Amino acid sequence: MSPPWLSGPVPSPLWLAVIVLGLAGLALVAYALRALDVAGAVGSFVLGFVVAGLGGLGWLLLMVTFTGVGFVVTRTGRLRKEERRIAEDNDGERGLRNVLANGAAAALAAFAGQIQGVSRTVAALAFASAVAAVTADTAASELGSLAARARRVLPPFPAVAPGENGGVSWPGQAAAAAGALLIGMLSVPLLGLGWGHAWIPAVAGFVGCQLDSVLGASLERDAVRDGPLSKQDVNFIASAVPALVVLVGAALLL
Amino acid sequence: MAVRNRSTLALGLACLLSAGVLGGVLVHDGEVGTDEALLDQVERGDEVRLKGALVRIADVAPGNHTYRLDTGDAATRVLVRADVAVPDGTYVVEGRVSSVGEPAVGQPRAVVVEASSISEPILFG
Repeated sequence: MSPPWLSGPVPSPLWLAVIVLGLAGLALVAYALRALDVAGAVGSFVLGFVVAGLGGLGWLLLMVTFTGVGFVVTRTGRLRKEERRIAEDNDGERGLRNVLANGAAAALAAFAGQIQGVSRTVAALAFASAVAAVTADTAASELGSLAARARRVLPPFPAVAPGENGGVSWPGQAAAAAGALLIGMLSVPLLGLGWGHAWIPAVAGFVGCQLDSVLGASLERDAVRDGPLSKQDVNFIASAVPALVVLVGAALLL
Repeated sequence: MAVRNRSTLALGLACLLSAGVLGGVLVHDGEVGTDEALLDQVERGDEVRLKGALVRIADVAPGNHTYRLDTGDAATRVLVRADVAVPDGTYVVEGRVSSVGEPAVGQPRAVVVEASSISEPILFG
């Protein structure tokens, strides 16, 4: 069983000080290592504070896990990505829009836990689903772009260059499944969920990643194609939709 | 790995280290992670971690001491049995609940804990 100081709400002002110190440290390290620009670092601090204040330390640590996974996979195969011209701009440095695109749905799920009638377990499942979706998508995008071949996710499934929006590959799908599964499993000790519930964010995260690919293939604009959605819009929608589905479904069924 | 600014990196790492140390001290000192709020629900066999003022009330035999632990919860009287003798003071007690006496009307609930460890807070006594 997960200890309440980890998976429960913030138990005291001193504990909040620990969280603020930790968040400040993470933001400064992320900025110093060029993982985030200034606005992104400030945004991640605020977002983390909101999540920790509403959920607790464990909720924050689940988001930190996503950040850590993102940091590692972005820098994996960097040279090969640069050769293929699919590396993230600015040496992989993320800004405020990236932070919000990947964290806003999770923060909204944490807010949902404050709504009367939404239990902590239901909010935790929605929160974990949002985090699982962005983790799965980041892992799939970054590791899938190193694959030898890829196909467009929509019929007639033509071959596309690995890393292209809307393209999917077996290594990318495996990375997505691994990322979603990791978050699902970590949500047990960190959010206080039961093992019987861990599959929910894992499945929701994987499905969210597929939604990201479909939107990427159909509605996302990029350098060669016009569309109504930016990359950040797609990231947000692909994490918010599974979180919302899980929130409503869990509220009705649990 | 490209480092933008070593001073910022050092400051960030210092913040993370401070958070870890402060968090560790808070848990060790029983400022978080204790079960006083659950005392009205504990049952025989439960593992508990309690912080409070420990007062020795009986030495049954060498290596068998009984204490009263004041956790600030007037609805529950906690007795602690331990094989170590410690001076009166504030401690964090960990152990297993060996018996629970259901209260008579108007009386506090009695919980007896067999202590496996009694530790003194470092900062937050």
